[in-house]
Amino acid sequence: MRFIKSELRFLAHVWRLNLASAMEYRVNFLTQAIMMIINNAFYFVFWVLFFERFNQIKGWAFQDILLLFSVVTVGFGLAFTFFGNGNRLSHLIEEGQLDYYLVLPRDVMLYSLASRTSVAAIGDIIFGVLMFFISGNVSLQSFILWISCSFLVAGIMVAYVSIVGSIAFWTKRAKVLSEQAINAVLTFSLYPNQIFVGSVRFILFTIVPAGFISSIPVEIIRDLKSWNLLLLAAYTIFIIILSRVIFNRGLRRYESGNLFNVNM
Amino acid sequence: MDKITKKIIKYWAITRVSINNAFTYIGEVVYRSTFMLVLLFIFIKLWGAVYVDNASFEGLSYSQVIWYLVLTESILLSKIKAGNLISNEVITGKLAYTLGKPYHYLLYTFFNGLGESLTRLFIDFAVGSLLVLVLIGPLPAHPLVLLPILLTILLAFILDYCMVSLIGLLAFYTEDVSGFLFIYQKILFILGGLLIPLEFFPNWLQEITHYLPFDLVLYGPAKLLIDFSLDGFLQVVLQQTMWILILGIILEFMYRNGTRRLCVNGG
Repeated sequence: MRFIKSELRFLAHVWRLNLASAMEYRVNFLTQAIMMIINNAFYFVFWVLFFERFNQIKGWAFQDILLLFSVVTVGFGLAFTFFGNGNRLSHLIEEGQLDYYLVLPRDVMLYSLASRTSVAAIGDIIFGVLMFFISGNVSLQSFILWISCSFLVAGIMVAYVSIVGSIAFWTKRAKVLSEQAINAVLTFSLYPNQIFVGSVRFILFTIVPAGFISSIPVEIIRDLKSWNLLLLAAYTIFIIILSRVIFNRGLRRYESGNLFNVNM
Repeated sequence: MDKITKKIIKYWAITRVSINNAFTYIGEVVYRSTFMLVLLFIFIKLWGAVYVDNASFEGLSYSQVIWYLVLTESILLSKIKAGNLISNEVITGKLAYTLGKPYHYLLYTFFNGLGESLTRLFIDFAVGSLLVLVLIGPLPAHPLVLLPILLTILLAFILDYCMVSLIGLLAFYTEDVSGFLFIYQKILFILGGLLIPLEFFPNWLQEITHYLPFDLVLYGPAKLLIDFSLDGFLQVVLQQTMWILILGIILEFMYRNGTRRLCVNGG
């Protein structure tokens, strides 16, 4: 327990520093966040046009897509705001840049993932919050379920990017694989999972866990399936433990590079 | 040899070098096309769910919509990426070094990018076609229509290049053009009909798109692929040429005006 408290205190300190560093360039901070909101809004226009012509897709109506975007963007936003190095993990391992995180007596995985904040991800959070309130599915219960799901989605996402990033401990050029895996989970999660059947659906609940960060949270919030939240939480804990086991196993194989860098 | 032939040979040589360069990194080109495969796969499933009870919507069949997407995505992923390059060369002053060289900067940048774009286009289209061929079926048109469509794609590349170059040259007047490029990409994404054919748009939006050049970059060539007619082809080529002339004149004016303002500090 003392270990967890101490790590959380340390993480809070790292996040404060990340935020202070991002706020140093306020115009850049605002520009990136606003650009991300516009980016998401343009993607969303596709669905506006789609539902202008068709009423539903496999039982999913426009409101469900609003909920889907709200939970996925807030989940991704939280993941990369607090653990912004997640999608750079394979790069850090390949370049031998984990050295910085090894010299401090802290949890290497948490420290390396949390030591960067993606400013654009804050735009994702703002966009997702707007989507939730526009969806019309607003009640105290649905709000609590939405917040809970968003944090669980963030947890799944961080664990997933950490797993695919950790492949770099075993193979060369894992950066490409990691990029593809992250793109795949993001792309698949922004469409209703019900359109996929058979082996693809199986993949979306195993290798590329897009089902756990899109359809399941939407069903929980829309149908107020509070019990399913426990299942989602159980899966989140499972994948987080899995990511830690894989990272720590891989860390034993880590070899420092000969690049000389200074971490400012 | 007359002057024009010499110019053609000169710029074609630039394109040839660019094609050779693209083949040097062919693995990277193929890797980039895998993202298109993921997106195409999702859209095959999405539109499959839409067409489950109907053979046609707005006169388009399931197979037509999917083949339409293969071409719009291939064009989008392979078009010449000149906006950031031009703006960087303006901002850093690198543009000044090209002024004394025996070529027109904008033509050089276009032909240099064209080689890589054509290579990407063929690979993306081949990879996408293979997926659709296996999952959906053959192209609902005679393969020979690909020849005139190639001309419309080439004109689409030129038209898009004119628009991104105009944005890139804005760097003469503003410090950072990345925001303008970003907005242009998103407008092309929607009004170009990247993911959804314009037939599915509400009427008022369809009207707006016909007055703008964006649909001529993606929708124009892709619609011809799935529903070719000589009239349609001539109309697309004519509209593309008209827009290229208008934007080309503005571009040349802006380039000449901009180079007069060019100021290089240091070396």
